[in-house]
Amino acid sequence: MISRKICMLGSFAVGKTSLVKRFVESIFSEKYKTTIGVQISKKVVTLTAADVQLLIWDIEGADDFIKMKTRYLSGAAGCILVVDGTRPNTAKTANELVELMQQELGDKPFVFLINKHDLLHEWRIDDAQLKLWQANGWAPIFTSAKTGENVELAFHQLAERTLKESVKPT
Amino acid sequence: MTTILNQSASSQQTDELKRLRELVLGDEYRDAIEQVVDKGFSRNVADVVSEAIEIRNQQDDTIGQALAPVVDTALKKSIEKSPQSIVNVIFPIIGPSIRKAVSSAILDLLLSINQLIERSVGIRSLKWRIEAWREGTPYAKYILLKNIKYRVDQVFLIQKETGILMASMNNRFYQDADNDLVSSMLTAINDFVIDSFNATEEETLERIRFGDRVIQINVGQKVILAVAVTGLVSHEVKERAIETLESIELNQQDLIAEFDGDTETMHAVLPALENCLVEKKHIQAEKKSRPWIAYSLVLVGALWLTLMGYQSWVVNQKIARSISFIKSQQAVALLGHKLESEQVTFDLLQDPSSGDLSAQLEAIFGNDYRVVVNATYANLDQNEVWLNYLNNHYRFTNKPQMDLAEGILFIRGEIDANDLAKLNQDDLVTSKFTTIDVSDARVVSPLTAEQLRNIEISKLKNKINAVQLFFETSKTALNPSEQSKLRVLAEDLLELQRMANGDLSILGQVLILGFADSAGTAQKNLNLSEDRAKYVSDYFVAQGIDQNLIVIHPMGHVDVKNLDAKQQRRVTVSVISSRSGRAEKNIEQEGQLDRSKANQESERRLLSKESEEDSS
Repeated sequence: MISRKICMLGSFAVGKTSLVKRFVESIFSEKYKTTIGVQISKKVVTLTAADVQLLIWDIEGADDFIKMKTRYLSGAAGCILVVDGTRPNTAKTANELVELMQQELGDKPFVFLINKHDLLHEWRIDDAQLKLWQANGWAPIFTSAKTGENVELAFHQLAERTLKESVKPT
Repeated sequence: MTTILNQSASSQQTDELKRLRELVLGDEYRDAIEQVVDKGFSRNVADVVSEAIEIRNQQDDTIGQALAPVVDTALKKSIEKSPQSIVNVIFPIIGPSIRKAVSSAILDLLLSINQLIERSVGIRSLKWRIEAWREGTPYAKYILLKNIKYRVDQVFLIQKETGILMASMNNRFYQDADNDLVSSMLTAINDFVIDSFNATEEETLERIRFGDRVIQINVGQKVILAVAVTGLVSHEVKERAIETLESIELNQQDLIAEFDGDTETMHAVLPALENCLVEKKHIQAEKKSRPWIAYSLVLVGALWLTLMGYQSWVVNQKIARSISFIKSQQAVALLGHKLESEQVTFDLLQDPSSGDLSAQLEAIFGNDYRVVVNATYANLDQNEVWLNYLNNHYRFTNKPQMDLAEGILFIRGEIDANDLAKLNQDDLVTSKFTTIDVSDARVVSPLTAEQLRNIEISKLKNKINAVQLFFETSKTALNPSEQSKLRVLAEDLLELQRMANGDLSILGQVLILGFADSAGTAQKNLNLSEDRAKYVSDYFVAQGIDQNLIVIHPMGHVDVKNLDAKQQRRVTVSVISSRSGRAEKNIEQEGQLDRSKANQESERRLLSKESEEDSS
């Protein structure tokens, strides 16, 4: 079976761990537990071409004070970049993380998720911002770890794209 | 034809021109030409050589093959010419690795020494020492072998950069382990450690220990080989892991380079990984055979002990017979005997009139033992011989003084009761002396104070009970001589009352029985006997005897044939002890004791006793 290492990137408390839990274990908890270091989970995704075993590195959230440990990105075939739809400033961190990722991994695929889509009354992402991302080719996917909205889709999409990529060390 | 002729002519002209140039310019011409040509060619080649090599190298590896021997030779020449320069270049590369290897080896050595020290005390180490001695193995070697116990449970081959598991092998205990996650976590831990401690790329995590398990991590150029070991990571395990890693990196370069996340492509490395699943148990005893030698030794030992025991029993029997024989002899005393390896010695004190006992004693022992009789002949009539014998033989505790005269052994001063008893049982003493006079001696008893008190009480009771007070005919008062007996009796009773101090088990009752002779009527005799008992009772009460203790009973005339009339006119006093004195005392205190009934019961018992005595 083909294995792919993927990394969850994003500011702290955007819901990276919840998305992984929802995807791998189909559970969601309102309790917030911050991730220290990295948590690794595994799930096999069945694609038309082949089965892919995703080794999901859920890396601790980054912000202005806590810089991401780029070593965790090493060898990743792709990333899932997550921002919080209720906190627009997490998008700023996302931009920095994409830069870091590209420095470390080169041109690897990533999917861009705007999470917490279930909290529509707190939603703070406007159309102008969305258009800007779309113009940059980021193609955001609205997800909710709580309801499971688009979670499978996001991981499957990344798995598809990583399959086309080689994981041979650059 | 014309063309051929023209060519021939042209060639001829060229040759002629060449010859002309050589004649005019000579050798300088040739050198000049060569210089011009060479410079131009080298310059041209220099301009394109890098690109040419790069292009050709992309096409195939012939450049590398062609250059390999040249590089080898060049390197060799360079090292021969200037070794230090090579050292200067290589040292920064291999220095850290060497330091790491040396420090790792020292750490392992320290750990081993520590374990050895920990295990070199205690019962187990004693057992191992004995086993090492039995096997003829030096203890250090034996304990090292004993301590090497391990089992490699899992082997992981991990892509160094991605942390993705390329291949793995598990032993039978870990078939269900999730090697993919373990592999990723190992890489993550390694990354975490490097980041946390600002370590360099060369510094990698080498070992993770949790409980009895250790993950030994060996980092290669492209891959990581990790082995999960239960027990002590021995040198053998480490060596094998490193060799396997090197072998895979060397022989499976293409597979490693082409690995694209698909573990199916890595089947070729599985045999090498399986080779790492080594296991070593404790050294077992070579063969569990019955310890016949030990059994034989035990059996021989048991037989020897039995034989010795039997021999000892036999000789003791013979000694007992000999002592019995010696004691049966007149005027011979055994002072002592001694049993040595093959000799029995008897020390005897003999009267000159007694014969030599050696022959009889030798006959008892036969040829097994040599019998030695040390006989001291002494005239047993001589006092000094006796005194010497008695003092040496008995070693009296209280050192009494002794005198001998006409068959009497006088003892003065203090003598222990036990010593006196022994003297009374000494055949030699009793055969020589008819009496042992201790009237001037104080016999000291080694009894306890309580025992001594009981003896005193018992003596006093016996003395009181033995007294009979005799009356004149028809008299109810005692004559002076009997009066004095009564006085002594009252004193004794008072003493007993003092010693009893209310303890009914010592002094429960004073029973006074009055008797009369056969003269007169029965009623008169009954009255007379009652008055006589009352007379004694009144005297006792007057002297201080507790009235509650006294019970009087008129017996009238009791026909006891072997007593004369005077002896029949008597009063007897008996001290009666209650066996359950405390209980009686309690009942009495509660005022519930039926005294008359108790009195009647006491009298009944006493009468039956006296009747028995009378009839006998």
